[in-house]
Amino acid sequence: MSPFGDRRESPRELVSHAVKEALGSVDRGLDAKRIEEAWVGSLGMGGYQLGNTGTLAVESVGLPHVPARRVENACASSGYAFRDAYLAIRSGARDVGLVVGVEKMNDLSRPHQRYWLGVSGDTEWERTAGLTFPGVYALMAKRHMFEYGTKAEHLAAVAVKNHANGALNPKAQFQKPITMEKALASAFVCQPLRLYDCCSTTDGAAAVILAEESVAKKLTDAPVWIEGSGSSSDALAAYRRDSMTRIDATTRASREALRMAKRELRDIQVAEVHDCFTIAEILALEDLGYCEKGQGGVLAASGVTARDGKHPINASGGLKAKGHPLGATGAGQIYELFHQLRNSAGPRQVKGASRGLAHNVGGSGASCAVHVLGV
Amino acid sequence: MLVDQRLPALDEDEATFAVAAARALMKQRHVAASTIRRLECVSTTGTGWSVHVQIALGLRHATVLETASETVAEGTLRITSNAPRFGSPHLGRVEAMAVAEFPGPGKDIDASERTSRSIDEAKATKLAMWEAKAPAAVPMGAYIPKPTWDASLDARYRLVASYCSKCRRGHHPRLDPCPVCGGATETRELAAPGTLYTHTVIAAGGGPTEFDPFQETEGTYGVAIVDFGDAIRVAGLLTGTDLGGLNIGQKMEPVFRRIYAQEGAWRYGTKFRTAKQA
Repeated sequence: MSPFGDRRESPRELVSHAVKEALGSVDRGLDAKRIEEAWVGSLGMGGYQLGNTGTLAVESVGLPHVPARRVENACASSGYAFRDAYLAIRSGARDVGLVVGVEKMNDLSRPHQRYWLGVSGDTEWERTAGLTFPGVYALMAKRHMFEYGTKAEHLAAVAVKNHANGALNPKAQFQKPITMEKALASAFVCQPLRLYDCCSTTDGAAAVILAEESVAKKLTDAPVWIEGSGSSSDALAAYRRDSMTRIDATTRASREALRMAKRELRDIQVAEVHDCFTIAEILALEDLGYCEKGQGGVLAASGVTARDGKHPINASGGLKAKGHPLGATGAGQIYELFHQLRNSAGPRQVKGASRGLAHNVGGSGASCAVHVLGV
Repeated sequence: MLVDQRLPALDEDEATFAVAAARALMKQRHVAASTIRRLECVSTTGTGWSVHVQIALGLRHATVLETASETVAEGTLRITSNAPRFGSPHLGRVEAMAVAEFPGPGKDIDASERTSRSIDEAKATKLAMWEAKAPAAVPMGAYIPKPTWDASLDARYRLVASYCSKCRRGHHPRLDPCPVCGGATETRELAAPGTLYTHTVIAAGGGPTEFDPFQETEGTYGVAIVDFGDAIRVAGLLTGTDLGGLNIGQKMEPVFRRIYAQEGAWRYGTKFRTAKQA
């Protein structure tokens, strides 16, 4: 994974950095020529390379003949790229696959960025009502506060926790802790969401190498297994879903992944969830099943989801502190779990983690991919 | 310095005043759109807005003129609407308002949507700047092209939706067959008022770029999700409403307003405000 943040590197350089590190993480070494196919998650980096982004990625790592394609589901692009690679290998058609996620956002002017942050919801009916993602999630937060009494302090608790975790992540965009006071005093972006309730715009790339079981066992004594994969869609416009206080795609995708893994949520020791906004982490806690519907705010403020708590959530700093390069986030979550499950996460290591869950959402919940990994 | 107060807001113009006045008159006199055969749109301050009024009132079948005819034909709806803008020669001499009438013997005039707001010169200047600049704004990325936008005007101007009697769920904009159960659907206009489901206030930088004009002139703008029953909710900007005084569950009424400008023209649609008590 490249560092996430405001980066000067080009998309090719970011991809090259991430893939080189992925290859280097294979304990017995892997010749890049053994990669058979590539899946590249990216929203489109401001639109200047919408076509053939897959090829751009593989040629930048010296593999110009490897079949590749761009996989896109907004912020869930590389979560789905990962799923597609997994399905291809499970089908027996492929033995070694490469998943890349890449996004470059900070070379655009702010108005131009806001265009790109506004084409993954229902452009015809949400955007033309003055909404991009902060607005849509703000509507969900407001309704959640109305239905369940969720408070601003609950939202801020998510930001405080994730910035504390990010401070221990040398690749995070933001590596300084913040206080509850600072979070609650920050300016509103879309009420009730304030500046510290919203993730920033980020450049970055992440890469993962997948291998068929017998191949994997020859490459390392410590493989991380994909035990389950699940995904689901829901209405494009948040307001057309049955409820604006749930992301049903999360519940469906996670149930499918856990069922495939023959596991329960209590078997998960570390989780990376999609906290594009603080309310999104609170919804994820409920939709994944960590607590009853409506109790996500209370849980988020309780310490249970801290790095040393019973259910560590976003030890990496999450999208909030680590950053959210849209197409790279899903792969970045897998990168974090890979290190957590191999005990190589350094100061932010969750002790004894042997099973993890990655939760990657597209847009405001139109798509969701969940993976269960274990050692 | 206070500028002459008879100025329309950025989301108001001759078309929006005209639609409000005509809707009020038609409701008061129980006149169905199907009985109107001619629409006359008259203005001192601007032309070219009659087509939007025609669609918003459900009068695609009617003849449209931009003058008041001397001999009055039966079934005529005449709307005189003026919206002088800052810097125009009509400022101070023409009042921003619309009058709708069914001309003929014993005619009854209904007027509504009179604007009487005091605004300072700095804000008026910004309004004038956006008035001139916004319609020519070049999108910086993907946007809804005009033909696609134009195909949705019934849904935007009149809240035309579909309803499936088989599964009792609706969809806005209309979709046939029913996307949930595949049954045949019927068309209907959503009945005001709706119920406020949730809302937010968008600060500078929190919305799509095409809404920057509203933020530069108004500071913030509000957005609501309004529930109309039968599983139909509509997203819409808020207008003419105290953004701090809204309560989820209260009644909201739809009004016809300018939404944003693109590709050389202002685009219209439905915004929401607190429903007046009956």
